[in-house]
Amino acid sequence: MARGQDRVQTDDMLRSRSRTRQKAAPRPEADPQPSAPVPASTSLVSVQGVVKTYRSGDVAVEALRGVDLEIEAGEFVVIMGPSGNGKTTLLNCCSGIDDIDAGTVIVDGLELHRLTDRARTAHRATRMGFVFQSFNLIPVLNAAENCELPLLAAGVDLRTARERAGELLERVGLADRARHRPAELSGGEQQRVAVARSLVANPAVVWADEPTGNLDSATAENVLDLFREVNASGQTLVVVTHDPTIGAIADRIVTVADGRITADRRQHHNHNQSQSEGRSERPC
Amino acid sequence: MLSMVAAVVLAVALPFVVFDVARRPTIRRLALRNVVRRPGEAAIVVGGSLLATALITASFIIGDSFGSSIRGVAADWLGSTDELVVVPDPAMLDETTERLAALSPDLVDGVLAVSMFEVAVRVTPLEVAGTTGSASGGDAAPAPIDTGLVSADVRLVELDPAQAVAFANDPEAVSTLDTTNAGSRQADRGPASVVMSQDLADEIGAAPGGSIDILIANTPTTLVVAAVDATTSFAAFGDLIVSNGTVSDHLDDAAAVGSSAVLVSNTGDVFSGADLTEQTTTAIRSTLGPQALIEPLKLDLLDNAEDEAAEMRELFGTVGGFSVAAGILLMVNLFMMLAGERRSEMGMLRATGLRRGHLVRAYALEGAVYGVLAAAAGVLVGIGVAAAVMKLAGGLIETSVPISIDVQTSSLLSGALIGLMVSQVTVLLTSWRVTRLNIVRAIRELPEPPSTRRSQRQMVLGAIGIVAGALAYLALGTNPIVAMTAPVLFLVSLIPFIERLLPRRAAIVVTCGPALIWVAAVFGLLPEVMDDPDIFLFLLQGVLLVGLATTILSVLDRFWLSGVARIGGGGIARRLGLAEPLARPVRSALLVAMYALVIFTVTFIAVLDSVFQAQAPDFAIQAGGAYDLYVDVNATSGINADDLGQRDDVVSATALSRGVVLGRLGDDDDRTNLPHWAIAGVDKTFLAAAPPALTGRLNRFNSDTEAWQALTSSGEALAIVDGDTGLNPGETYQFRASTGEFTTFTVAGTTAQMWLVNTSALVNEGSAESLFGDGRPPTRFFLDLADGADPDTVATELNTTEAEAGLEARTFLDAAKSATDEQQGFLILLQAYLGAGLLIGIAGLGVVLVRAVHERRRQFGVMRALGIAAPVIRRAFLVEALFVTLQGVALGVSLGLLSSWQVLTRSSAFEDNLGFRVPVTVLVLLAAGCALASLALATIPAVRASRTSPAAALRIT
Repeated sequence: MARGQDRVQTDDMLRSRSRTRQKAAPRPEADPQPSAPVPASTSLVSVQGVVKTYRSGDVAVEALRGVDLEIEAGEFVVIMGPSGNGKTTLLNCCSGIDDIDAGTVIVDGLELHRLTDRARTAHRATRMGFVFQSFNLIPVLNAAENCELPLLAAGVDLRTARERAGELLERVGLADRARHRPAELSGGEQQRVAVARSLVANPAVVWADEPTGNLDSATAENVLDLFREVNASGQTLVVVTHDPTIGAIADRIVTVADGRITADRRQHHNHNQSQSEGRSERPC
Repeated sequence: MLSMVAAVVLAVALPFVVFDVARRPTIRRLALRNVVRRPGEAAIVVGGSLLATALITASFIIGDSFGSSIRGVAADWLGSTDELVVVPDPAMLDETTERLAALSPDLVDGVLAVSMFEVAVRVTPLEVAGTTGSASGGDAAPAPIDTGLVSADVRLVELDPAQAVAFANDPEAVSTLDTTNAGSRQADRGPASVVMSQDLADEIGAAPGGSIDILIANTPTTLVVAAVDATTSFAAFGDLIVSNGTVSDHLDDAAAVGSSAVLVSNTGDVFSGADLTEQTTTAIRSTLGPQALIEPLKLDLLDNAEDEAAEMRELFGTVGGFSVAAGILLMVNLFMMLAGERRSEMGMLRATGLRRGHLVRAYALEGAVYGVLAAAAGVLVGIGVAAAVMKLAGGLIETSVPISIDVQTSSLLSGALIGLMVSQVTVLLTSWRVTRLNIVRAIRELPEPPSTRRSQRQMVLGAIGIVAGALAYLALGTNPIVAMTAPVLFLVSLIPFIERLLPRRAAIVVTCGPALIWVAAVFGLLPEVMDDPDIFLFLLQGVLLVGLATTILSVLDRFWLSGVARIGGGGIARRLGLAEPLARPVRSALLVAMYALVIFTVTFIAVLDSVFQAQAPDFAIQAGGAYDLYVDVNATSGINADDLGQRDDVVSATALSRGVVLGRLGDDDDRTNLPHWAIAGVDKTFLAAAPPALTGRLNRFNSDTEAWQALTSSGEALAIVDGDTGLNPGETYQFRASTGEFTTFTVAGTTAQMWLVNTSALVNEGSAESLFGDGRPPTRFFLDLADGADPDTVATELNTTEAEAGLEARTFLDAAKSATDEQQGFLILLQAYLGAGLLIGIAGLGVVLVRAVHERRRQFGVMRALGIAAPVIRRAFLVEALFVTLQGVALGVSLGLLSSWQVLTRSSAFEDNLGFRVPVTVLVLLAAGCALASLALATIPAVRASRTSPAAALRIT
């Protein structure tokens, strides 16, 4: 199937199933004050001049020092660099989890940091997915309930959310573990649930912070296969990592050091070959 | 006893703590560092712990206060008087006094002769000098001002003031009395003086310097109030104290209308003299003869004070025990939460070489610090709680004893020791539990895997429990505590074995379910064993019911909650709010049990209160039959049944003669202090209206009417006694006549509630005459009113018009209501005391939620990152709080209703099957109040949780 087509079909499924009892996802509220016109950009994610400083008493640490970055739809971008140099901060600022001190971040047409907290939260629920190093599944919910969470947060009805979560769990090979809580899953299984959760709302972009950091190599490989697969279907991925094997399969490697982007290198891959390799190593 | 146990436990445990402080720097550092560097946590643990100490201390202080209040009466009202010797023949008063004065000074240091009369008293109407409007200026008739306040049936005491001062060893006592008027009839000497009690002065509006009229045998005597004294050494004997002859010299036959006695003071002070009561009583009988009527007033009062103190201490201690149990659950919950947060740290400590025992000792030391702080603060809070209870008691409980607080050092020490023991034991047991961990999983903050097989230790413990439970029941099954708990132990011990056959949930339900039913129904299933239960048994039942029900609920929560979630739809706030309690069944169960324990007791008491309130009309009928009111008069009033019966609103009036006699079980009853019986004599006119129904009667009587007829007309020595006396129909009992001879009576029947009108037994008029002596006129009348006549109105009218004759009329319903009101006041007091425990439940939930914000900070950050809006997180928190609260309330209310129903209707614990009523309004208010309080407490943590910054929370590793 051509890249992007799978995503369109899933979109249609989602809309049709939620028609009977649709709770519209809250429209992100725009800044009530008139703002400068958003510069025209075709990028899915556009970061310009972002500065982020952490203050603790009299000590100020500049985590980001004027970062510019453009990410296109469907790209697989890896952000690498030494520890403590601003990779996670960049990801948090780009995704709207953290505030910025200067600059602009535009994701899917919306300037994030002009939105109210409520609007930004709603935007995350509908347009973004997250995968964390520590999995960060909600321990009191089972795998299926963890997957349903972003859809429920977006106002989708329970039945639709449940069906969609089931599909994603099946896609990551965990349909038979849907009723198990995170404590009953292995690390790899938990991370696959996290991946499924990140995809359930059909996000514009999935942000992943050290997704294989807590996994052994074999399990990490399984997760990488998932990433390859979802990216092949058109999903935009932005991954912060130290893992070179992730870098090897990414479209683009952005290097961050001392709060700045010091390198931005594109790579070319044979996606068909990658996909077939991924299927043969599908996790059991 | 509990204090001793606490002292022993602490004596065993604390040396280890002291040793660790002195010789184990690692343990000391670990423990004290946590106390110092986490002051918020420390404050929470101390706060949760101090409540147990506070309630324990308060129960001791309350007991001491009631006891010392009654002891205070001994000093204030009895003064030097240790015994009262009744002198049946007033002519023998002087001789008797001389003979008693000659007793050994090692036993007796004073005697005082007194005469007592029942009088009516009023403030003398004032005459206003001047005119009332005569224009001509001529003399106008003075307009008397009458306060209209008459107190009937007041006790007046005549004595020699000089001798009284010497007897009381108190120059203030009655020294204001004017001795020159003693024995004088001469009008020119002016009115004699009187010392009046404060209560009487308040009642009739008298004041020092004013004058009062004493009315006895239709003879008024005016007296001047020399002093109004709240306490005199003779306050126990009368409200009016006068010199000898002040009243008696004005009476034609003082001996017929009064009584005489000699007060005896034992050697020693006000309290130590009571220790000589037995020897003194023996010496008096040797002097006056074995028939001497001696009342050991001081000893009885002091014994009563001790009994009352012990009873109050036990009652408040037991009721407070529910709150203490809730406090223990709170401590366990808090400690487990704190230990959970330190799990990674514990794993690292174990990895670096510390043993599990070292961790336990570190926790023990830390717990000891919290415990000492909590004990010190708890004692202070306990004093405050006790003060509030005593103040409330003074307003709620109608008693002539002035209630005041008494804080004794021994009580504070006991409260502190027990509170410290409770917290230390809780910390030790909990720390033993939480330090059992897998090192790697702890370091990596991975949850412990669920155990999939029963450990051998659990099987062994289960086997021991089964054997112990079975043997205990077979050997000691007649003991109420064993009968209740042994089957529970047996059943619960079966769990490890049944788990081999069934899943854990099913195993718990099939064992704990029957155990729950047993505990709830045991009062009805074993009425003989559970007869006359100790109050501790109710505490035990409550704790067992709540524990078993909470256990069952915690394993079944998932089933019924999933149904609730389906009914309501998949609201994300509700799903998140309910998911947390479901996922942490132990913590949720502890919180629910905390609430349920206190709510159980409050419900139980509320049901009792409701039942007792409804009893007044029934009590009135049980005491008076078809009669509407009873009238008490002075012996000298001259009022008779015919006078009362002539009223238009009275259908019939019957007379009862009254007196107090000694009673004994039989010839071989050689007790020196025989019980006093209030006897009333009736004749056949008593059956003019339906008399009180009998609760039991001799088999030979086919109906109550036959029994009453036999009593009033047969001439047999029969008695109908109050059920409280413990006698049964057919049994015999002896009453002592005024001649000193004992007469045997057969119990013809028993009634209920005769105690309301201060009567223990009814005999026929002839028997009463022989018991009391000839010439005693009737002093009580029962009136049956005409249809349409209002008893209250008739009583009020009689009290107004006949007060000077010393008449007091009262409806049976009013007497019953007074009794139930007193009970109700006490129950309200207990409920207020339990309010402190309810605070534990509510505050405990608040504390757990506050800690949960910190504990789940990362989780809230993830939720916010995933797009869950802040209001959703707030609502989820409130749902969680409400779920725990309502579960606890529902459990406590349902178990409380079940238990009280069982006790009231299916057991002999309460006599006469009082019936069952559900206090709906109280329970609804209780549930609503708890829910609102929980929501209010949960609001702040909910807001804080919703404001969690995702980036900051996710930075936590």
